[in-house]
Amino acid sequence: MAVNFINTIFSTFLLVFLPILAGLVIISPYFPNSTIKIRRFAKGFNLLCLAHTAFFLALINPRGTSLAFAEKLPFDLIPNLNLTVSFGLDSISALLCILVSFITLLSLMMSKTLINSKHKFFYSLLLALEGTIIGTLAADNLFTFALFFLSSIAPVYFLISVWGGNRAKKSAERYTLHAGLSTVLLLISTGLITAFCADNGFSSSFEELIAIKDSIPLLLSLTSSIGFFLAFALLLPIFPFHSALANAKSEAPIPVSMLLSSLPTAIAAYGLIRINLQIFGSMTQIIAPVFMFIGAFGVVWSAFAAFGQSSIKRIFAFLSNASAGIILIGILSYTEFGLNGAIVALVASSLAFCGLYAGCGIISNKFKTEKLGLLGGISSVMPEFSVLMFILCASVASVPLTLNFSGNFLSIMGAYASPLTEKTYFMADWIQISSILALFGIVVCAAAILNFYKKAFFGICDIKFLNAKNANFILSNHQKAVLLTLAAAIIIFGFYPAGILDKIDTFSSVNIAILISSIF
Amino acid sequence: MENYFLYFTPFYIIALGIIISIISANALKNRSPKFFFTVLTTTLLVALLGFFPFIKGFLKLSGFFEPMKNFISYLPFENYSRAFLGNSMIFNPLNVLFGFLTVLTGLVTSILSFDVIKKLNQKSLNFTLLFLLSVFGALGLCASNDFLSLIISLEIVALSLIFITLLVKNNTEHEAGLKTFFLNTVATCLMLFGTALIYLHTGTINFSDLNILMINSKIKPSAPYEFGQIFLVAGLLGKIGAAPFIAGIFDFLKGANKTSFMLTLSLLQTAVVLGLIKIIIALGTYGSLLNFALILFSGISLIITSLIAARTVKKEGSIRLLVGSICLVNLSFTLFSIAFFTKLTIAASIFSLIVSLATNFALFAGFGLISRNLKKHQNHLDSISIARGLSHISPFYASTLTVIFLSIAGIPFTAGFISKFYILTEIARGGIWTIYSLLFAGLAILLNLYACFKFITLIFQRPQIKADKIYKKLSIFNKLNPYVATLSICAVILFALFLVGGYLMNIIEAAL
Repeated sequence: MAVNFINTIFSTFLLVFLPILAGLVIISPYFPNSTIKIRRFAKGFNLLCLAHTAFFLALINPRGTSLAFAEKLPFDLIPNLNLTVSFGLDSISALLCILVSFITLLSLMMSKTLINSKHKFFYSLLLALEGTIIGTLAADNLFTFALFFLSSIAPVYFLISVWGGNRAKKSAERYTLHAGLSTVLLLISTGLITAFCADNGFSSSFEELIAIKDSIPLLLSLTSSIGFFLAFALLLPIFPFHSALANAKSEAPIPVSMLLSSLPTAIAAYGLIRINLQIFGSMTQIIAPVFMFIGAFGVVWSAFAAFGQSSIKRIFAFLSNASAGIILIGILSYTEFGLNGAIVALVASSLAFCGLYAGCGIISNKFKTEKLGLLGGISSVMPEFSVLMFILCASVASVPLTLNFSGNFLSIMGAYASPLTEKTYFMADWIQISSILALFGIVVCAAAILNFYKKAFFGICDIKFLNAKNANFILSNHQKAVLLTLAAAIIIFGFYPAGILDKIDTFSSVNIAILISSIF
Repeated sequence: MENYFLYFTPFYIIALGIIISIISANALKNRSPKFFFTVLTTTLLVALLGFFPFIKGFLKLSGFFEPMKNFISYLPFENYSRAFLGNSMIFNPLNVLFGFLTVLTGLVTSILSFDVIKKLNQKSLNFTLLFLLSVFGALGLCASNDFLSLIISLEIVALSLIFITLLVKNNTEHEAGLKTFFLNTVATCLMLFGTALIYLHTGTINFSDLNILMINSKIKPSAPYEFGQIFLVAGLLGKIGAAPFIAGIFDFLKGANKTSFMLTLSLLQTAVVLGLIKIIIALGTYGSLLNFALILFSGISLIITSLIAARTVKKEGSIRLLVGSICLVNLSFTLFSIAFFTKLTIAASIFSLIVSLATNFALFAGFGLISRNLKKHQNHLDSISIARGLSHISPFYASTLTVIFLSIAGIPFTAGFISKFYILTEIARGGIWTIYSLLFAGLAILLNLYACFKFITLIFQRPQIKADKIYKKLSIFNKLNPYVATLSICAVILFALFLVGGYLMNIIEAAL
C-alpha cells in the first residue's frame, strides 16, 4: 500500500499533468471567479509542483547515466509505429524541470500587480504552459518530445496576444510563425526517424536511439540531424532568427516575458543535448564549427543591438539572445567544460533575466514608463530595489562570483579547447576565433547592461515621477521576495557552482567521452 | 444468393424514402417542410442502421471480435467481399466503411439543413428528392468497381448538388450553380477522355481487371496511357474544386445555399476521395507521371487553400470563405497523403478524411448557428469579425470552437495532431518525392497554425458592437439544439480520436 502510494507520488505523469490539471481546475466554471482565490490556488499548486520536482532531483542518482522514473502510457497512441507517450528523468532534465517550476512560480507571484483582466484564463494558460514545457523536458521518446513541444506554442501565443502591449498581436503572430517553423522541422525530422524505427522494429525512445545510432543510414542521419538542429537553433534563438523572440519578449506582459527569457532556450538547449549530441553527435560535429561562429557573431550582434534600444524590455530581450549564443557555443564545443558551462549558463541567464524582467515590471508599474531615456535616479528613491537589480545586472555582466560568470567562463573555455579544431571540417580552424569573438561579445554585453544601470539608477529622478499621484516607491512583499530569491540564488550558486555542477558532471563526462570516442 | 438483399439495404431504404416523398406529395398533398425534413432525416437514419449487419466483419478487423462473439453471433456477414452486376459493383470492407461515412455525412447535413427546407417551402419535395438522390449516387460510387459506374454515380451526386443550388431563385445562387455546372461538365469530359485513353490501351475499364493487369506487369507504359490517367484524376479533382480547378470552387462556395455548400464539402468530398483511392489501387504506380501530377495538384491545392484561409482570417473576411477554405485544406491534406500510393499512406488519408469530416461538421454547425442567429439587418455581415467576443456570450460555445480550431492547427491532444503526424511520417517514407512534399506540407501546417491561432484570439477578444445588437437570441448559444449538439459531439470525437486513432488506423489498414 505504502509502496503503491510512493510510486503514485513519484510518477512522472503526475509531474507533467499536475500543472495542466491545476489549469483545468481554474478554468472550470465551478471554480470561484475571485481573483485572490485563483491566484492563491495557482501559486499553491505551483509550489506543490516545485516541491514535487525537487524531490525527483534529490532522488535521482547524479552518477546514473540512464533515465530514472521511466513510465509510459499502457497503450500505444499510434500502434503501427509503436508510438506512445512516455516519460523519464535524468539529472539534466530534472534540473531544468525545477528551473521551469521555479520561474513559473516567480512569474505567478509577479502577476499579482501586473495582470488586471481575465485572471482565470491567464493563470490556467500559465500553468498549462508549465505542464507542456515539463512534458517536453521529461519526454522519454521523440514522439512525446514533439507532442509536448508543439503543445507549448498555443499557450505562449495566447498569453502574448491577449495580455500584451500595443503591438502584441503582431509579435505573437511572428513568434508563432517562428516557433511553428521550428515545430514543423522537428515534426518532419521526428517523422523521418520514427518511420525508420518502425520499419526496423525499434522504438523511438531516446535510450534505444542512442543504442542504435550507428545503424541509422547516413543520409537519414544527416537530414534528420540538420532538421533537429535547425529546429532548436531557431528556438534558441540564433542569429539571424533572433528578432521574433526579442519582439515577443518585449511585447509580452512581464510575467510572460519572465518565462520567455528561459523556457524556449531551455527546451532548445535540452533538445540539442539530448538529440543532436547524444543521438546525432557524429553528424552535428560537421556543422558545429559554422554554427559556433554564427553563435559567437550572434552574441556580439545582440550585445551591440542592446545598446541601441530605447526600451528597457528590448535591452533585456537582446541581452538574453546574446546569452543563447554562449549556450550554443558551449554545447557545440564537444567538451565536458563546454557542456557543463552551457547548462550553468542556461540556469544563470534564466535566473538573471527572470529577475531583470521582474525589475522591469516594477519600474513600469512605479514610473509608468519603460523608456530608458525617461528614467534616472531610481537608486535615490528605491535603494533596496537598486541593490537587488545591481546584483542581477552584475550577473548579466558576468562579474566573478556570480553564476553567469561560471557558466560563460566554462562555455568559452570549452569552446577554445574544442577537439573539433583538429578536424578538417569547414571553418574548424575558426573555432578559437569564435570563442574569442564570444568573449568580446560578453564584454559588450557587460557594457550594455552597465550602461542601462547607470542611466536608469543614477542621476536625478525626474520630478514628475516624485510628484505623480499615488507615487509609491516601496517594494511590496511579493516583489521583494521575487528579487531577493533570484539575487540570492545567483550569489549562492556563483560562490558555489558545484551545487549545480555536481548534479550534471557525470552526465557530461560520460556523454562527452562517448562522443569523443566515436569522433576520433 | 443468400443475404443478397442485405447488401443493398441502404440503397433500398433511400429508394423507399424517395418513393414515400413522391407519394405523400402527390397522393396525400402533404407539402409541409417539416414533413419532408422528417422523411429525409428518418430515411437517412434508417439507411445508417442498414449498415449494422456489416459490423461483424469490422469487429473482426479491429480485434474486438472474440470478446463480443456471443453478442453478435446472429449477424450475417463476417467475410463479405462480394461482386455484383457482372463485377461492376463490389462490396468490400473499404466500400462499406465509405458507404457508412457517406450516409452519416448525409444525415448530419440534413439535420443542419432545416432552415433551407423551411425557406424553400413549396419546393421542399424537390429538395428532399435531390438530397436523397445525391446520397444514393454517393452510395453507388462507394460500390462501383469500374470507370463507368464511378462516373455515372459521381454525375448523379454532382448534378443533384447543382440542382439543389439552383432551387433557390436568387442571382448569386444561379450564378454559382451555372458556373459549377460548366466546370463539372469540363471535369466530366476530362474523366471520360481519360477513361477512353485507358480503355484503348488496356482493353478494360474494370478496376479489378486493371489491378490484375498491373500486378502482372501486362500494362506497358505509354504516353496516351499516362496522360489518360492524369486526365482522369484531373477530372476527378475538378469535381471537388481541387487544383487544377481550384479557382472555380470558391465562386461556387460564395453563392451556394447552405445545404449544397455542406454537401459539396462533405458528401462529394468523401465520394471523390474514395474514387481516387479506387483509381490509385487499380492503376497507381509509384514514381509514375500520375504520381508526380497528383502530388503537384494536391500540393498546390494545399498551399493555395491554406493561404486563402490565412488571408481570410487576417483580413477578417467572409465566414463562407473561411469555412470553405479550411474544409479544402483538410481535403488537400487527405489527397496529398493518397498521392504517395502506398497502403499506409492511403490508410493515413482515410484517417485524415474521418478527422476532417468531424472538423467540417463542427465548422458547419458552429458557424451555421452564428449566421442563423444574426439579426436581419446584420445579414450582410458575412464576416468572421462577428465571431469577435463569442467567449463573452457563451464560454462553452467558444471553448468548443477553440478545440475544433486547435485540431485544425494540428495541436496535440486533438485528432488533428495524430492525423498530420501520420501523414508526415508516411510522407517521410516517400522516397524520391519526400523533400518537396515535406516542403508543401510544412508550409501548409505553418499557415494553418497562423490562421487558427488568429481566429481563436478573435473569439476571446472584447466585442466591438454589443452582442444583442448583432444576434437575435443570445441564449441560443447556451441551449441544447442540433447545432450545439453537433459541435460538442464533434469536439468529443476529435479528443477521442487522439486516444484511439491508432486502433482506427489498424481497422482501416485491415480494411484495405
